Amino acid sequence: MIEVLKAGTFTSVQDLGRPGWAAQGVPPGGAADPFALRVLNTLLGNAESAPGLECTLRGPVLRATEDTVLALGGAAVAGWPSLRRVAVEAGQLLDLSTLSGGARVYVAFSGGLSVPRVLGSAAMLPRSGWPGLAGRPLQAGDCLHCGRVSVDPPRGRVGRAWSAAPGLLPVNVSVGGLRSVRALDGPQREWFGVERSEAFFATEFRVSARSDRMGVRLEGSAVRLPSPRELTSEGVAFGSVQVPPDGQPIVLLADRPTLGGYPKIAQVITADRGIVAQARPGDRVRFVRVTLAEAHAALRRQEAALVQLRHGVALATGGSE
Amino acid sequence: MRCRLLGDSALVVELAASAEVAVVRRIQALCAQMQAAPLAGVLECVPAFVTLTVYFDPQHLSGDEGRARIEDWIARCLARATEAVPSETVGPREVVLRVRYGGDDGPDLPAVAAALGRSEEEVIALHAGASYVVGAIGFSPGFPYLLGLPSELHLPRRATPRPRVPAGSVAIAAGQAGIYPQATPGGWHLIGRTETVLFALERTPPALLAVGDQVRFVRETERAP
Repeated sequence: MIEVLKAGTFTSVQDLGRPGWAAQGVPPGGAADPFALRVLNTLLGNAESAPGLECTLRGPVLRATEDTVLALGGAAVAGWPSLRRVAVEAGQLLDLSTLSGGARVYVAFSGGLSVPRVLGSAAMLPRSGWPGLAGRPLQAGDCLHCGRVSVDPPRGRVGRAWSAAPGLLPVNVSVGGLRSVRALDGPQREWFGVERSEAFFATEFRVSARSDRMGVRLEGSAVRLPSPRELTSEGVAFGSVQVPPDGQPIVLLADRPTLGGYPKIAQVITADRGIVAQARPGDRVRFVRVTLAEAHAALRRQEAALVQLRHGVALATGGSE
Repeated sequence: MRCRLLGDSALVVELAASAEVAVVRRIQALCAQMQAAPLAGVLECVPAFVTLTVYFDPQHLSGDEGRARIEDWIARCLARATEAVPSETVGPREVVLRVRYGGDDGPDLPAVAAALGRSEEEVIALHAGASYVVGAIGFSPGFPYLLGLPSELHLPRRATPRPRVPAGSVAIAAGQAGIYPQATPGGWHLIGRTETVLFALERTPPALLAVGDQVRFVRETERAP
């Protein structure tokens, strides 16, 4: 079991969410940086969608009550290696409080976390009223059951073989706190006109401290429609860049509502979800326009790297897929 | 019909400019055709008022070719939806909800009546006298946006949203009616409350209402024992 001694700023159980329920008004939810969680689960030989912990800004302090194997990735955690299998002994204190280089770190456990599911997923959704850890973040005193450890713990130098290539996650791509996020024009781009849309792509925004799992709120020179216009609410997606009347864009993340009534000037590409989800308050964000073909090519490269990792893990464990 | 890309893994199909019952019926018919003849790689379709958003797997339906395949599929589904004879005999599903108006159940009823220049009784009669159609489900799990609110009851949202609206609250704002399935923050005017559970995990599907359903409100005067 994993005991929670200190919960941190906002720590929750997350997996890959609840796709398929949007027509019922259920937000897809799941990890804000889904690729990071998939990489860690792959590294541990888990199913990609196994539940893990998502820790935000200030991580938790945990204690293992039994031997286990875990992996961390996303933001860097002081005192812990990234993207590597780490053996943890019974009684060991896991201090994950100091994060850097990103807003969120994921902790995956060999065998996953064994927590009750709601609509097929263990992902926590705030204000849902759902039972247990599906309805609230972790608190001090919570105990989490791990699944059966399915990989051998790393021993000595052998442990090195278990790390994934550090470049696999696009988390630390921020140069001096500037994050470059690739995006397509949004479905209401025309509403803004060419000039205002070009200005949007030329603007450097700042990430607001009011950002959460619903969206990254940006601050910068206001993006405004040439004249007020009402949008009938329609479907939104992970990475939709909505522009409310105050002109300060919101990039929607995992806990977005299923529908949105603000015009969408741009849409972050799937491959760059992690870059935007890892933005810390105060980071600067700039959008770079790409084509649909470029977006899909970037995604193919990312998915190919994950397939390669999966093959490597399978070979190293002597197993087959 | 117009299709607009929503990034690299979704398309928004727009059937009309303004939300009317006839448009919602066409969206509903299109949705049914898509479910009847799914396209491999399409993950889900979300109807809302005048649009239907199609979410797809970009690994499966890639590039401009993938986009063209989705648009072809949408056009075929739309053609079948238009051809399909509307089943006048069956008609849409109707759901009747019992509502306790005013008091603690509808704390905004006096303010709504004052803002509209009507008595509370008139507001209740107008709200309960109308027939509604679910235009979209969203905002929170199972929350129905209802078209058909009498124009006499149109008024903007509250200036300050409430941090917590009780579950079951029956509300109006922005020319629409709605019901809060869970206790959530909310900016609509609360005029009553229903005991009917709009979203229940143990139910399949969990949401009571779906786009296209007809809804009527019936005034409940006595609190159930």
